[in-house]
Amino acid sequence: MSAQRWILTWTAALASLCLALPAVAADWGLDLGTAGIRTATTAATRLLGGATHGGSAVRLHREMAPDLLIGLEYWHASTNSTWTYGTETDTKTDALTADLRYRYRVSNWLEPFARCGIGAAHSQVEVAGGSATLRSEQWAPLALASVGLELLIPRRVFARGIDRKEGFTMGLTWELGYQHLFQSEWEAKLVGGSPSGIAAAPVSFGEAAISGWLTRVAFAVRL
Amino acid sequence: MLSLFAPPPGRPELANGRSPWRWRSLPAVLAALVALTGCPAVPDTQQSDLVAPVELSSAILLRSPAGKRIDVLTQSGSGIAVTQLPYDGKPDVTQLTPDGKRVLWLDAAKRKLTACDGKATVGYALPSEFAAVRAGDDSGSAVLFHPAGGTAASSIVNSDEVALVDLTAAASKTGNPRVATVSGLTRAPVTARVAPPIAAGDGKHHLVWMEAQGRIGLADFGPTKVRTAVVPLAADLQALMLPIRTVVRVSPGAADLYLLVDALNDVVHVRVDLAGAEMAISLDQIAAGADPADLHLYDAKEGLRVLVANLQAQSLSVLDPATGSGQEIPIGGPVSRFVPVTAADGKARVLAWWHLGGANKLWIVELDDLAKKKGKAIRPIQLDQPVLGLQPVGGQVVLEHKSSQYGASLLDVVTGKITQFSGAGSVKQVRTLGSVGSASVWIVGTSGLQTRLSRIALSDQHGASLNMEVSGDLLLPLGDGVALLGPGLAGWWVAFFPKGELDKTKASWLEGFGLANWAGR
Repeated sequence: MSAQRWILTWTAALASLCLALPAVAADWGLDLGTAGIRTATTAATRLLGGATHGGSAVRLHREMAPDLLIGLEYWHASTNSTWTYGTETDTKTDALTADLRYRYRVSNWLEPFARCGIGAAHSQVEVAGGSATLRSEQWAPLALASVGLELLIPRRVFARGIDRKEGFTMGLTWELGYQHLFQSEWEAKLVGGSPSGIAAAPVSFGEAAISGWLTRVAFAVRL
Repeated sequence: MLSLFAPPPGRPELANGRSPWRWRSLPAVLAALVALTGCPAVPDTQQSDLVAPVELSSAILLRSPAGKRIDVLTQSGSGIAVTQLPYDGKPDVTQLTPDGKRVLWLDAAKRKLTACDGKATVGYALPSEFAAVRAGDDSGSAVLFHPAGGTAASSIVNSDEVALVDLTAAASKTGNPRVATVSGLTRAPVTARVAPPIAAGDGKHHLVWMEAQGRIGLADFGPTKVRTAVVPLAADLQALMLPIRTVVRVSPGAADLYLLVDALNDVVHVRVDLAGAEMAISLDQIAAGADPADLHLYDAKEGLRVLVANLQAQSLSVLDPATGSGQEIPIGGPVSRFVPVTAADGKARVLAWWHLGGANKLWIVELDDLAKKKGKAIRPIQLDQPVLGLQPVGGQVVLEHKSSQYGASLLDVVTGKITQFSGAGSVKQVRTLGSVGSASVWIVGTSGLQTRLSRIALSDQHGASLNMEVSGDLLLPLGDGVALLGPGLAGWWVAFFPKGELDKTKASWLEGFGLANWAGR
């Protein structure tokens, strides 16, 4: 089984598990926000043409045990910058992560949490200049660990004065952590081949992993 | 009253009804605000210009200032391999050694000379801010000097100073480079050169000569010491006299310099004898013709002869340096350069032509017959198109025309027969590549918006062409093949044709290699 298939199969299995588990406390949550990394290595900074790589993130979770949530997150990040020789680079990453999150209810409006997850990411780097474009892409496993805070409007606000622990609410969630993509060498090919029809040789951008310190800020909805 | 800051169940409120969590949550809120307003780093943006490639005999070097490296292209099988060498210089002068095995980069402000053979770089720290370098005729040494008109950026320099670098040895603070001050030169040299090694009784000598207005500076770098001397040219015209062409011949213990000097209708012969304790220098002048432009030394049956092209007189002079005698042969056209040609019949010939372009006449000079036949030993060749370049290959000479009608012609120097080649488009570059027997003429032309690459095999004079929808600019030899370079993504693109065959199916294309290992470096 190829690495790509292995990653997809594993991610799909986790996603299925996440959604199929019987709801213990029937607590669903949806986070919509932005997430990005600040690169931890010089190689990643050079590859991106900058130190940050960010975009939108959507996360769905469900409580599988008291205060233990299993979730699934989709992250799309992109970075545009100018590389050496005035070339334009466009890097995109799409990642699917299955995670476990443990929350600690400090109050009815504040919930610190810790999260760890694994998944798969597909990254693509395109470098364009003149009339040519080089494209490199790779699938890679992903792992992350983070801690965060959730600031919620107390649920009783939406329960019309009834003091209850469960039910609809919303708020903001903020998270800090580290995300690692197990990426290796970036071998690029000429998009569309050479203009003369001559077989084009690939070019390696070198080894780099788009990994780094993760920040996520999201609007949170809890059911 | 509804409170957003109510304590969690089981945690009491303070007596005044306010939650103790209100103030403890402030740091978290502040941290969230910081995260929301966090600013990303500014991307590292670097621009650079296209740097001209360096053609070595075994590789093509492309300096990448942005990458602080050299991309080395070599042949690997039927394709190209790209390796990198670190190099963080911005050279003011680039100079190839005559054998094509090394390139010299001089960074004057940093006082550094770097030699690169495509496999490694060797740096030589210089004791002074030398602004010019010239590789020696033997390719194993180089001379550095302060040229006339050169400006030192950060120091005051003595233009009498000259340095010799042994390129075959590692840099050394005491012995490599070696410096000499040619006291009495007083004027900054136009150029400086180093003769091939001269064997003398005490070992190997390197003779450096500096060509300045009205005088020649000499520095003899012997095994143990450095000797210097200044040779004044003709005293009456010193202010106007500037050496324009020099040919050197070395023999055991001595060197002979033959110079043409601006504003002097003579060949100046300087003999330097290095065998004694002191340098013995003699100078004599041999009358040539009006406005000599080039000279060629050859060994005739009668002894050494100097062939001189007299521009204004439109004649050639044959001089005997031993006696100072000579004869002038009118040819009826201007000649500024001689190109030696060796044909299969073994006869010594030179092609005489006006190298500054635009002339459509050249002459084949039969050197062996010159003494007897005089003017009859010089054959004029009339051409339809102006000749812009000459490339001798064996007994044939490829004539470059850069015309849309005829890109190149082939001249057989034995028979004088000319074969013209058309169909190469509007010619940008003509190169003769490969060795005698398997040589071929490559022509880069344009046809409409396309680049037309053509190849003519000299063995059977069979031609073939390939149209490419790109703008190819430079033809360079690489391994047993030919590389066409053009401006592309992140520098140059390279189309490589192995074995010198113009075959699209066997060729390989490399583009964007300026970014190779960019992330992982």
